[in-house]
Amino acid sequence: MMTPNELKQQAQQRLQQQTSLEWLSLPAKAQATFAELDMPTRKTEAWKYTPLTALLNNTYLEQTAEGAVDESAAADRVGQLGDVSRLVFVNGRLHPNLSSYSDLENQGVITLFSNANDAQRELINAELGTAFEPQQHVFAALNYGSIDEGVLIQAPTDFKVQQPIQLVYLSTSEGQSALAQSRVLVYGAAGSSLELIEQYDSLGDTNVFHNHMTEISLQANARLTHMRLQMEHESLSHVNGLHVKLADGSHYEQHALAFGSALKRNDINVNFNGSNAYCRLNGVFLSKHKQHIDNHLNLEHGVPHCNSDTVYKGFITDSSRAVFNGRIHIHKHAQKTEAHLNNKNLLLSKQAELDTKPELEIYADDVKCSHGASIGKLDDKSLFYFQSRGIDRATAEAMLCLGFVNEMVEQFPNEAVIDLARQRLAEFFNDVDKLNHLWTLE
Amino acid sequence: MSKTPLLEVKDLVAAVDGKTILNGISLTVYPGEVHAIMGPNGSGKSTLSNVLAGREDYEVVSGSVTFKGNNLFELEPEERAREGIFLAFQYPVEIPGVSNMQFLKASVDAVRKHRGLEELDAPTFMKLAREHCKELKLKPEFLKRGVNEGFSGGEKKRNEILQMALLEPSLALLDETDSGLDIDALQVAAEGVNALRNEERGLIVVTHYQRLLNYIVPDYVHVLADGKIVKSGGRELALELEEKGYSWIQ
Repeated sequence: MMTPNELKQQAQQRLQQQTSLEWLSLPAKAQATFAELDMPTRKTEAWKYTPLTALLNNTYLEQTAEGAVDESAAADRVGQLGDVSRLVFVNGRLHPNLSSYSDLENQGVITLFSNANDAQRELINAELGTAFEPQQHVFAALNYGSIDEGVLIQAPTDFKVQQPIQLVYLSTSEGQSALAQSRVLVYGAAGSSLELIEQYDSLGDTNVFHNHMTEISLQANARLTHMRLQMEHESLSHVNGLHVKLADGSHYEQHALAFGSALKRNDINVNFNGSNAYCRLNGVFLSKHKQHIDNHLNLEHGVPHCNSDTVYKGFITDSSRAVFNGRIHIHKHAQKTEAHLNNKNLLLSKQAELDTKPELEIYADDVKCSHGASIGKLDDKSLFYFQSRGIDRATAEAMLCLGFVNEMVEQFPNEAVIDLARQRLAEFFNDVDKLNHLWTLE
Repeated sequence: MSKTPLLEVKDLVAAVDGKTILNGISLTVYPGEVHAIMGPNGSGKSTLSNVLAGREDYEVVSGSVTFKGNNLFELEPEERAREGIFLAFQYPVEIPGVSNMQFLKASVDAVRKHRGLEELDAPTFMKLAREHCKELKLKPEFLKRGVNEGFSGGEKKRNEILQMALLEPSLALLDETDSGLDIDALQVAAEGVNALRNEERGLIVVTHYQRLLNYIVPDYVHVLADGKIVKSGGRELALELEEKGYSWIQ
C-alpha cells in the first residue's frame, strides 16, 4: 500500500506530460494548484469518512487506460435510450463508432476541445475551472492538470435543444490498473434549454480509476435538465466533480442514481450567482458488499431570491459504507432565499455504516430553510400491511426496498432513462425475475 | 345450527407491551353473518382485529381462535390472508414508490396461487381493478399512484375496500372503516362492503359509532369494555347505545 505522499508523487509525474491543447490556459494553473495540495487523509475534514484505500492499493496512475472495447457488448450497454445524440467515451477516450452526434456537432452544440474554433477556445478558457474553489478539490486539479481532450456542449441563445444528449463513460480493462479521465463543459447561453444524460458504466471486472469533471454554466433564464446514472462494476473507483454556476432566472435540475464501485465519491457544488435562479438536486445512492460511496453536496446561495430543493436517499446494506454531506450556505446578502435539504436512509445491515451530515449555514436574516436526515430500517407496519394482503415477508421486503429507491427513480423526467435505471437496479438487487415483474406493472 | 362456524374465538386474552388488552373474549361467526363490535376508545376493539390478522406486536396470552376449523395462531399473517382473512385497516400505511397496481397484483397473485387458481395476466388484472375502481368512484389514475400515498382519508378507506373486493376474503374485519369519513364517502364505502355480502362471507365490523351500522346492517352487535364483551344483542342494541352512550353499559 502506498502512502498518500507516494500517490501524489505518482500523480505529479503524470502531470508533467505535455498536453496537446497548447491554447488551453488551465492545465498550468491546475498543475500549480496540485503541487500545493496534499492528498486527502482521514484528517482532511471533507474526506473524514472516505479513506483512499482503493487508490493507495492500486497502481492506477502508472498508466492510462486504453480505448479499445468489445463493440457489440458496448453497444448493448449504451444504446437503450432511443432517440438521442450520443457520445461514448471508452476509458475517457471518444469512441467514434459507438457515438452519433453529427447533427448537433454541425450546429456547433457539441464540440470536442481539439476541434474548438477561436470563439470556443475563448469560452473554454473563460469558463473551465471557475465553478468551484480549486484549493478544495485535489482530484479536479489532477484532472485539469492533464487535459488532452474534452467536450464542450454549448446551447446558443434561446436555442431549445430538442434531442437529449447522452454522454456515456464506459470503463473497461482486463486486470491492469489504469487511470481514465474525462471532462465536459456545458454552457447554456441566455434563454437556452438542454437535456443532458450522463451514464457512467462499465464492462465486466474493471480495474480503472475514473476521474471525471462536469462543469456547467447557465446564463440568464437558461434551463438544464441533467440526469446522471452511475451504474458501474464494483471493482472500479470513481471520483466525480459536478460544479454548477447559475445566473439570473436560470433553472438547473439534477436527477442522480448511483451504485457500484469500490470507491465512489461525488462532489457537487452549486453557485447561485444571479437572483431568481432555481436548483433541484434529486439523488438516490445504493451500496452493498464492501462498496463505498460518498456524496458531498454544497449549495452556495450568494445572491437574494434563489431557491433550492435537495432530496437524497440512501440504501446501504451488507458491509458497505456510505457518506452524505449536504451543506446549504446562505451568504449575508442572499435574502429571501428558500432552501431545503433532506437525506433519508435505509440501513439494512448491522455491518453497514452510514455517516450523514446535513449542514445549514445562514448569514442572512430573511430566509426560509430546512435541513434534516434520517436513518431507518424497513418499517414493521408497512411489512405487516403487505403480509396482511397475502404477500410473503421476503417479497414484502424486496418490494419495500424497491419502492424506497423507486420513489426517486420515477421522478427522472425521461421514460427511457427510468426503464434503463430500473433494469439495472433489478440487477443490483440480484433478483431479476421477481423484481422486473414488479416494474412492468404501471 | 347446521353450519360449521367460520370463526370461533374462545376466552382470548391478548397483551401489548405486557399490558393485557383483551381479557377473555369469546365470539362465534358463522358464514354469511355480520357482527358489529362496538365500544369506547381503549376497549380493545382494534386489538381484536389486529390479533386475528396476526400482527406481531400483539401477544396472545391464552385462549384459542379457530378459523375454518384450523388453529389460526399456527398461521403467519400472509397465510391467514391467503386462507381468507382480510383486515381493512383503520390507518392504512403509505408506501411511496410502490404503485397501487403493483401492490394489488402481487397481493392477488399470492392469494390466487394459494387457492389453486392461475395468476391473472396483467391486462385482465388491470381491467378487473379498473372496474372495481369505478364502482368505488375512484379514478383510474388512482391505481398508478404510490400505495395510499397522499390519498385522502376517504380514498384510503376505499382503497381498503378495493383490496377486499379483489381478494374475495371469507372473513373480512373492518377496523373503524368509518373513522375520518364524511357522509358521502361513508356511503360509497358501505355500498362497496354491502356488494360483497353473501351467504358464505363473514363480516366483523368494528366501530365506535352506530352511524356506519345504518349502512352496513349487522345481524349481531357486541359491546366491548375493558377487553371483554359485556353485552350482545341484535341490531337494536346499537341504537340503544347511540341513545344512552357507553356509560350505560359500564
